[in-house]
Amino acid sequence: MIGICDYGFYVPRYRISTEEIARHWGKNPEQILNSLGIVEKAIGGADEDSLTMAYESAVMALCDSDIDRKQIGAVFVGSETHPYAVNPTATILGEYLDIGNDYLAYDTQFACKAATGAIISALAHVKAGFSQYVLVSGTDKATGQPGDALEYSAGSAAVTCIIGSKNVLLEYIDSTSFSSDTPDFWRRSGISHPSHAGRFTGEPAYFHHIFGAVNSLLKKTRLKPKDFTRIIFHMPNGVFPVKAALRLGFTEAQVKESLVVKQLGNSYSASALMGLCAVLEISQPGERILLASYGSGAGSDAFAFKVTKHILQKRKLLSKLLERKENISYDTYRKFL
Amino acid sequence: MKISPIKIWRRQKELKHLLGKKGKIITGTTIYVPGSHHSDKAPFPVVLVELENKHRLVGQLTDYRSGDLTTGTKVIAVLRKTRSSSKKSVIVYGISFRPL
Amino acid sequence: MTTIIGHHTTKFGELWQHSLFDLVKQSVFGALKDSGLGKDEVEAIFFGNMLGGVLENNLHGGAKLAEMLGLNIPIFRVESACASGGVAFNLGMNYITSSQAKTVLVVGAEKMTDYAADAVISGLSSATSGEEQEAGLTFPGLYAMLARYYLEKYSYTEKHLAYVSVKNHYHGLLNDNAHFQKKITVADVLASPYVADPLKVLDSSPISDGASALIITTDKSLIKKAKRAVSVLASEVATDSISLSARKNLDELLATRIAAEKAFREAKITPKDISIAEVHDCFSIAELLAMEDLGFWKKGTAGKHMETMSTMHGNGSDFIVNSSGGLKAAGHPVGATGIKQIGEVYLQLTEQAGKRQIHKPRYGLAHNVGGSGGTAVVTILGN
Repeated sequence: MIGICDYGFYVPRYRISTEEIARHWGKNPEQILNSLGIVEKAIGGADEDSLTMAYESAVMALCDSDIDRKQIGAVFVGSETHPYAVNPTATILGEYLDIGNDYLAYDTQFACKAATGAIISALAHVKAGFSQYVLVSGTDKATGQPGDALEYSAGSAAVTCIIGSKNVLLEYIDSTSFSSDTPDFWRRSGISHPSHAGRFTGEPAYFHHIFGAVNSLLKKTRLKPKDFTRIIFHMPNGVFPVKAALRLGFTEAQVKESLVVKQLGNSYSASALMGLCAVLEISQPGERILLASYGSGAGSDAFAFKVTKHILQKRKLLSKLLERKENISYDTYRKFL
Repeated sequence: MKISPIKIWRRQKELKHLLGKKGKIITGTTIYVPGSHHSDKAPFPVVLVELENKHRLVGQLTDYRSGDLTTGTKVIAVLRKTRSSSKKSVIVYGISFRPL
Repeated sequence: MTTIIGHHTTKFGELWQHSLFDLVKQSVFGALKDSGLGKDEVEAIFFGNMLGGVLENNLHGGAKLAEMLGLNIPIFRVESACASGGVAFNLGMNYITSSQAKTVLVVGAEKMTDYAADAVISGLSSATSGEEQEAGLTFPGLYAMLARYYLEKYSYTEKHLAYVSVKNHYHGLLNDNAHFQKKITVADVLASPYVADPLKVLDSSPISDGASALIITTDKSLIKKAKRAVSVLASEVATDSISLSARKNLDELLATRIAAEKAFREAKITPKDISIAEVHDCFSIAELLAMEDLGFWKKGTAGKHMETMSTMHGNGSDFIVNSSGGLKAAGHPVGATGIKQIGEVYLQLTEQAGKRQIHKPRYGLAHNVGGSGGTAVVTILGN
């Protein structure tokens, strides 16, 4: 059995509301709230970045864990806001986590699905016997161009999963990936904000790829939507994941608890994984979970997982961390980026 | 003065061991007029902390609410960016203190 | 006995027309004139300066001075942060004792206004530890932490700090060379913006240019000839940890206490004998700590004493502190301060202090500190 043995997450304290951003631009907050389904988003402080957040989430994953750090054979960090264009976040993380030098490290980027792709590689890595454990972090301090729609959703968070075969709390059943060349959202080297193709990011991008991966997964595993207790889809806003769920034959009840986007915004590489953390908080042994990430450019990774009895000891409470929050003004928000 | 990547690298080895350590604030101040390596951060609080092992050190306060900059507040050492670096230099990570 | 026979301090302030070495030249030739000596009678020079390298890439001051004066004598550049001047004087004193030289010139100078404020602030931070710099602690930040600790421990308020600046600004009015000649009130100080709380702009000494020079000698014939001569009874240096986090106590500068004890013992007098003291008020809190650490006031009582303004000129007291205006009002060209302080005591003891002259002072003390207390120099002069 392989899967996730331990996990951790981090959300910064600061929040900026849709209302505050709308007020700054002289827009009607009601309208935006309805179309995006995001009330507020989390944003890292001026002294935080993808690395510091990944570190916090990794510390949570490793504390109270019976994993010997020196047995982590690989570290993969997925982000679209790596601190450096050239210099691996993974080794800075590895160094501060004090895991020694005997490990493979690399960073991945694939918009919002940078981490889930790395998770598939980590699972294969462990299954092939290359490492006992692989640490994978999805982390982003995402920004949007001032005045752009993404400003309401681009948020900050990090999630770390430790992949292994001992005392697995979330068993890996199967996965599929659906990839194509689709220019819905991109960022050129040296440019500070990403660009996107407006409404093209919907049907031909998000929905097409999630449907591709999920339908393949259902076919491959011969499972049906009703076989899953809960599902998580990547959350660019609070509306798309619910639409996708319904169109694929799932119910709103199955996707409801994963929708952290409403309070946290879209944390890009950590988005779907954050939804998973919310779901794990209330999952019970034996339940099946489906997770489908989406990365612009574009692709989707879909996973079928089963919760094991180990969740009972290793469960971490996201809701508790989210109690620690402070709303800030638009000006302060801009200083933090 | 340019930040030396080698000095940062050497420092990292010491800093690693301080992460996660707990202590309390002995005294502190809020810097309103910073030097060039912290120019875009002002105002920011800096504290002198005594760790549980009696070792003392200084660092910025982070993730705090307004009442936290007081003598006796319990804190924990966390990893944060500690200096403003230029677009080309190595990023300086270090220890900051978060109120518990 | 080593004797001061001449002195010159330039105007302190924003001296746009003058470079560092213009100021050095002014003070050196001024001191030579004041003492009636020719430059060839100087056997060695000690030059106190902190930021020449950090700000202007100008080190090797010894050779620069040699060029300026056309001399080949030993010239030493000395650095101990803000105590560079005091330490240069101490080394000059010890040079006379330990070598064949009888006559030494000591000069301190600083040029700070050629650079943007944040570059100067960073430059001054070179006197702090690496860890303190990394945390973004500026000089004001370090003294602010000491101030907060002191005010909390002894239950004082920011008002108790303000008296220092008010007094020193009043003295500045009486000193034509002072950077500021402007009266201020306690309300002014309390209303000024924070630099690092609880220290505000008017709690902090300014960024200034300036230079000061003294000539010391043991040559009996020069001393006899000298128009105005004052004996140096003691010059002592002590150090302490550069980091605040390594200090034993945060409500004192141990280096000051040790240097003062050594100096009083050497001079065979006590704090009660001092009529004029120039203490290192880089920030208002520093004067409070200095008055206690030097032994003038009991630990923790400085706040109360300052309220009475008993050390202000014109209040009928026979013990005045910082008659020059201190660092706060006279200005603080870092390398020059230590020398200027000794010069002020010299002026007082030779009845040359004009409007700020104290009545027949017998003994005077100068106190110069480097960084947040990593170095302290105490000099006692007397007749």
